[in-house]
Amino acid sequence: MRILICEDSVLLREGLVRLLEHSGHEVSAALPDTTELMSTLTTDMPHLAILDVRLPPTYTDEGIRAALQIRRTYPQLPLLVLSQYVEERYASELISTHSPALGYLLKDRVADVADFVESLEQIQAGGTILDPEVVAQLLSRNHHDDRMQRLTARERTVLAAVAEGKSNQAIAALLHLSAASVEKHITAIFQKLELDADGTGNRRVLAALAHLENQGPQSGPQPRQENS
Amino acid sequence: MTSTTAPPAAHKAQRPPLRLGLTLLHLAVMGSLGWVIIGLLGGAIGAGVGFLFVLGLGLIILLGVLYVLFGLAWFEIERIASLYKLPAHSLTWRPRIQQTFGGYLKSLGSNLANGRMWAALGNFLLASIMGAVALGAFQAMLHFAIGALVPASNADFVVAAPFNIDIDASQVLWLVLMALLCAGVVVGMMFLHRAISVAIIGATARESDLTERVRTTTVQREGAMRAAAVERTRIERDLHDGVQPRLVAVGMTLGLAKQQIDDNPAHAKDLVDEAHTSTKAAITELRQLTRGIYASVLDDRGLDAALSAVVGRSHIPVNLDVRLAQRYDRDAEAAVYFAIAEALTNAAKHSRASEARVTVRAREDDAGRPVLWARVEDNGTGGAKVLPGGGLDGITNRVVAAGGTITIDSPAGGPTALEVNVLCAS
Repeated sequence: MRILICEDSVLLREGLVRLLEHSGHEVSAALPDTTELMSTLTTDMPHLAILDVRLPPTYTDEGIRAALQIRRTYPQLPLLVLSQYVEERYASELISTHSPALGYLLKDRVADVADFVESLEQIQAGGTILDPEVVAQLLSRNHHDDRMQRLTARERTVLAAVAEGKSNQAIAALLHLSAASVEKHITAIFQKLELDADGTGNRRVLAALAHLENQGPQSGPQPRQENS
Repeated sequence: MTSTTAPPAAHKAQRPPLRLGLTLLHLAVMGSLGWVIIGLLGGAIGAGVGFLFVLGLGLIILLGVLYVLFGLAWFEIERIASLYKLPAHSLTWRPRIQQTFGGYLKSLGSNLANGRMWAALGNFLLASIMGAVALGAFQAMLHFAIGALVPASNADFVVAAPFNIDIDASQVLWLVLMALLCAGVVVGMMFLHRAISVAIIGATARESDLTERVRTTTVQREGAMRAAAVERTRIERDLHDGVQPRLVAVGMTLGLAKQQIDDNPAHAKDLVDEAHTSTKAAITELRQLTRGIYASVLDDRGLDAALSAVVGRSHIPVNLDVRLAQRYDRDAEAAVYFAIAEALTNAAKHSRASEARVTVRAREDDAGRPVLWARVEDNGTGGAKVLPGGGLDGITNRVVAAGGTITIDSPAGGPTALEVNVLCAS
């Protein structure tokens, strides 16, 4: 696939180019900052864009803002945001665009080349891949919602795996469970969280993520289900 | 007009309340009891000086007098401060620095040289004089008034007037005027008492207030410098003990692999694998280290977002509950952030806690200023101590430097609770 890279560090940018070309992909553009990002997208649309979070000039959240802008202009373009640190808040902002084909990973993950390239392919196919650290952050927030308390420890582990974008088979292998019991756990989770259980794959991930994200304090006053 | 920029406390000090009734009461007590005390003190001083050469007995008496004088000055400052609501600090006994008899004598000398004490004593004497004048004027006023009223009411009794003036009907007007004059003297004494007391005690109050502020600023600056030093040491140690040897090991492993790649490719592959794993561990360590220095998300998304990452990488489950409606100034947010991060690290590392709870709230202090309040609790074994150069020492200094307070409650056997209050400028 054709990939656009926006990363300020020369070493990492060149490394990514080499890694991607070595894995049989084509790099359509490698930009050091976001100034020419939108114009490059207009002239030469890639199949996927990789963005760093901290970019010049302020090195704070330029990458996130650029990603949100891309999501508004080209909602179908698969995006992977790479970051030195992963932040639940940045992830929540990205998830809130409700478009599929999204990835948010630690830069460290690049070191596992095969996994990284596979993640790229999943994102390009419309999948949602979140770094396990982000999921851990989302799960550890205080949920002023009784529904989260209803989950057992095992169900929370399964939910975390679902949120990371893992398939039932992958979850079964990870937790040493049978596929059937994973299925049972997921049904129980979605019932307890009052979510639409029909969704499969990416829709399922988004439902779980949206649920987690909605617990955040930024989403405004919490509806108290038990009082209404 | 400077009143708009002056702090509210200073504004209040410039306009003490009148409180005439209370002042009158104070003057009456000072005019009577004050003189009793002054008389006793004078007697004691006289006896002290007189007995000075009799086995040094006088010295003991004079020493007692000094303590009484200090107590009297303390009382005087408290009296004026409460009467006129002045923001004056209590008079404090200057402690001895060396635990020897010489140190004791020095502390006596420094207390004897405390100008604030003598100013307060001077005020006590002046107040006693004014009290006596006010009492005398009050008594005279009563006599004149009653003298003026007796013939008017045609009552059949005699007032033992001290001036032995024949009360004549023609003199009534004269007597009324005298009574009014005496009343004027009483009221005048009240105003004079206020003006003099506020000038004397208020002036020393401002001075002691400034001293107090300088002291606080010094403590804050020292805290900031110590916090920075502790932090530098920690970073150096972490780099030296963690990432650096790991990278050296990676270099060595890769060097070995390079040697063996032709002769023993299978072993070389294992070595490369090992180096790969080690490199990833080094990256993780480095990330956690730099994250510990500063969280950039704290700047652009605030405390709530930054704490997500802290609790996310905690080794024990943490219940995070942050309710903040606004952003606070950077120093306050950073101080609270690092206090929570350190408390959670301690909980996971040393206290053998199985879970922790973090609560952050926006509060107000007594003066209505915004305060960032945070509490970290764990269910561990407790016994956390602030050791010089340790993590808790670092965050204590940091919080103090940001103008906050920190309380660590960690009895042996647990649990541990850490509470932070940081006053916010904005």
